[in-house]
Amino acid sequence: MFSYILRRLGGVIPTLFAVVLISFLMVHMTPGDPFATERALPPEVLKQLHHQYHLDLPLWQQFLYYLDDLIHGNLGYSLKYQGQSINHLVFPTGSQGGFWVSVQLGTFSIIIAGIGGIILDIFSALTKDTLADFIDHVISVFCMLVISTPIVVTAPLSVLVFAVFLHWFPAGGWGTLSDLVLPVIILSLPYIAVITQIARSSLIEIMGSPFIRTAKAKGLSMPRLVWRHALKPAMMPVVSLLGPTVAGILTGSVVIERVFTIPGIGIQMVQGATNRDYNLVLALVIIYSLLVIVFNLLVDIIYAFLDPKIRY
Amino acid sequence: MSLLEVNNLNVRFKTNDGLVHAINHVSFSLDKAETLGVVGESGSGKSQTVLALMGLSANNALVSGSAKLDGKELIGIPTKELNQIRGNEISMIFQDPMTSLNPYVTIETQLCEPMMVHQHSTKAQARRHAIDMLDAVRIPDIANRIKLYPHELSGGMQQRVMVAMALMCKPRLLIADEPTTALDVTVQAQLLKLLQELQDEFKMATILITHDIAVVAGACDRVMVMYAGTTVESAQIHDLFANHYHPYTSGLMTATPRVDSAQTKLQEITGEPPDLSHLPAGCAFSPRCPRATDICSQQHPVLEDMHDQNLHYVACFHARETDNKETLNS
Amino acid sequence: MEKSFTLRQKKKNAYFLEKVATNSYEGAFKGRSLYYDAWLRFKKNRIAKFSLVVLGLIIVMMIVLPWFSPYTYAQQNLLEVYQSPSAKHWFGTDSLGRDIFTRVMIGGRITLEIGFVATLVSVVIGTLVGATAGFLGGNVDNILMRIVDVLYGLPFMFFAILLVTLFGRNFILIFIAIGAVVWLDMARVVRGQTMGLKNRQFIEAAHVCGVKERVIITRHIIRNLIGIIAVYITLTVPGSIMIAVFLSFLGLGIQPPMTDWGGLISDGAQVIAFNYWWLLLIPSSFLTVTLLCFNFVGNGLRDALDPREQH
Repeated sequence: MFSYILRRLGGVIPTLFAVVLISFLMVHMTPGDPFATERALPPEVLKQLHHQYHLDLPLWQQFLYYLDDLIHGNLGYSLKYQGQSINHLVFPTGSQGGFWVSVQLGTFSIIIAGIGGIILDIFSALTKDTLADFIDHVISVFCMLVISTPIVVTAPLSVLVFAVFLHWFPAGGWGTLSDLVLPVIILSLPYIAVITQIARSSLIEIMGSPFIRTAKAKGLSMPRLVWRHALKPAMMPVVSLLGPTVAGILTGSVVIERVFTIPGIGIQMVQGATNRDYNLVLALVIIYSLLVIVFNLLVDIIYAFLDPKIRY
Repeated sequence: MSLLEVNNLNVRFKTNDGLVHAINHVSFSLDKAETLGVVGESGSGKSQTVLALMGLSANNALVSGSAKLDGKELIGIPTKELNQIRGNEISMIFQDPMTSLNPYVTIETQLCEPMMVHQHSTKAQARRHAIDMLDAVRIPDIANRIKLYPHELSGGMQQRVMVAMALMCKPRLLIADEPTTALDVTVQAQLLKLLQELQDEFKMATILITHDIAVVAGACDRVMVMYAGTTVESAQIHDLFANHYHPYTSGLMTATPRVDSAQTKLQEITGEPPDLSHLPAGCAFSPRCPRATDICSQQHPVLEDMHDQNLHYVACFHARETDNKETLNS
Repeated sequence: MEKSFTLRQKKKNAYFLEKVATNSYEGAFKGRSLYYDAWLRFKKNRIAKFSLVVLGLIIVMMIVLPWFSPYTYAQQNLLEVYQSPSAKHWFGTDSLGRDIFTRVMIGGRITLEIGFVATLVSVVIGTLVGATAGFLGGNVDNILMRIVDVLYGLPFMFFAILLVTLFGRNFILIFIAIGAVVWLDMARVVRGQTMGLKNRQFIEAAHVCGVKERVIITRHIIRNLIGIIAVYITLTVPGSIMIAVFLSFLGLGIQPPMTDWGGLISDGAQVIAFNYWWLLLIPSSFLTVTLLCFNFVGNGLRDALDPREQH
């Protein structure tokens, strides 16, 4: 098991390197001076600045400097907020905000998406072709609707209904439990639907498999049958789906942070893009990619752990 | 009184193309410690019969008729009551051990389950008993293997695990649905021998389903031959091999290689089994039968006793006319 | 969020599109039967048929109605700001007194345009990469598919945002950004199909010889691609639209005063606290209905081309 994790870890490093290289090249091969947009600077100051940011060196040396900084946890300096370190923006001291807020939002959403999806899929799969067939139909229609409605629509709509009209939840902010409810539900909703759909068809397939027939022949009750015998194999496709789900939830969190004014790195990303703050956006792209890659690694390990047929 | 009494069992499947008549008016009985062989081609309904007894028919099945285990009805009772019987008083072994064991659960857990559910025993008790049972089915090096997953064992070993699992609660009736079909020939013989020994040891009745009449010859007390969801012939094993009256039985016999006869060429039964959603009006075998006459395609033959030494039932209009075996061989 | 679509379809799509590929290839020998049968099956699917009609209506509306509107999308009227829907302004007006009806129609044009063009971009890239990998095989195939695998794991949306940061908001850039996100599935599908065809070609060549065979094969490949691309487009357009809407919603899409549905929804979202519901609900409804229709049509086409997928 340990060597398996090590080997997977070895596979991650080239991907990570590729991410840094591609995004770095994208930024630095773009014509234009990062300081040209500021008010006209005297040539000697400009030269000084270029030297300070290693911009007077060849590209590959700049890249090595950047890589060295990254390895030491230094994300560089924001162009918009002169002299501000990006580390300070992403991991603010004292006040709440930045990276960990986004990670919290994402984590809660994944948990809700997983639990919600599994519960709905059990109801859906087990009521198919029975007297309670309508439950399956309702859930299927719900999934189709939710999947076709982008977060861009559901997020403001939920604010309009539950905050403006009904006053059940606050329209935005971060900190209390009630602040969490709307953003987390809205962000996880499409993935609840996706997981339900995938898990439903997989559970239906498993429930028809010979080993479930064997378990029935042993006289096991329905709950035990589902819980002990069907759920784990039926969840395997869902586990392998978690990687892309995380990428999607992180992407969606940018919209959610904007609509619900949550002070995460998604908002910084959008502001950086609007202000054309290359360095900030570059750093955030690398952070988001790192999150996705690390999570995909975790998913692979969990999958190998759950599937007895995979040898480490 | 016999252990199992099946009376007029019918199984129909609702499909888009109409009703499929999988089992039609099947009746039989089984005594304590008796072995019944059920023989027929695939699709003849032999598996569906026992699945119906176990309440394992597919969702779209309509099961009617009666099946009593020691006087207690099995057909149409709630799943909860059925769950107290299956795995406990009736156990079943399935055809393909590789897909019939749960690949995600250790064999220890799968073995212990029936005992923990039916006898409310502790995991430790169940494990001890499981090891005894694995010993009884002659799996070597049990202590080290009980924690394995099914795919880590060979097909023959997996089927032995299935047998051990079926015997965990000392059932009174064991149903084996083509237990050897998916195995190598040498392993087949071992497993059949093992089954017979276990049956003697545990004094249980057995229903052995197979398409191989040779398997029946070695292992069973009585034989029931099925065709298109109906019983066509039913007799003691010795009677059947001495005299078989139904042309389909004769066909099965001549299609099976025998060591004890000089016959060199195997004869096949020509034609295809009928479409179960559009059964012929008369005898289902009549389109393929070499002896069919007008009456065969118009009326259903009923099971009649041929008055051999023991009861010998045949459903054929021409059963009494000649000895079929000779007719076909000449 | 844009991934929810690709995600859901990904496994299924790759599977059935590959099957469609082989099916239509075999169908080609039996004449038109496959596509004709598929059409017959599609016609039986009421939801898909209804969605197709609604989709057609929406597209015609987008094209025709702005011509008859007395307003233009940028025309301001500061005396009539935040008017709720009325006979004069069917869908009301916004903060600058612009007619929302006209803006929704014009915005819809942009959104659909982006959706279709970005899909085409992805079809071109995906087909090129997939066909190259499939035909050349060996190391080229290994490397290309390894790259596709790696890219699958990355949060592409963020690279799109990086692109927009670097080059500013730019119409063409949005096409490229979206096309670059969605080409991966197409590459996999085309690769699988090309490899299948290559092997068949080999077998066919043993039976029939000469150029004539090649002509038939070429014709069959083209036939195949048409079937695949039709399904692929209907399933990718809504995905592309979702990405476009996502970018515009964040203010990284189209340049004002021009707008698209994402921009309109964003405008509406900023004033929901003041109960100007029409600014949010109307563009949202158009977007959702369009996406639903595309998904229903896409699913209908998929089921029609591969009946075994149905239960």
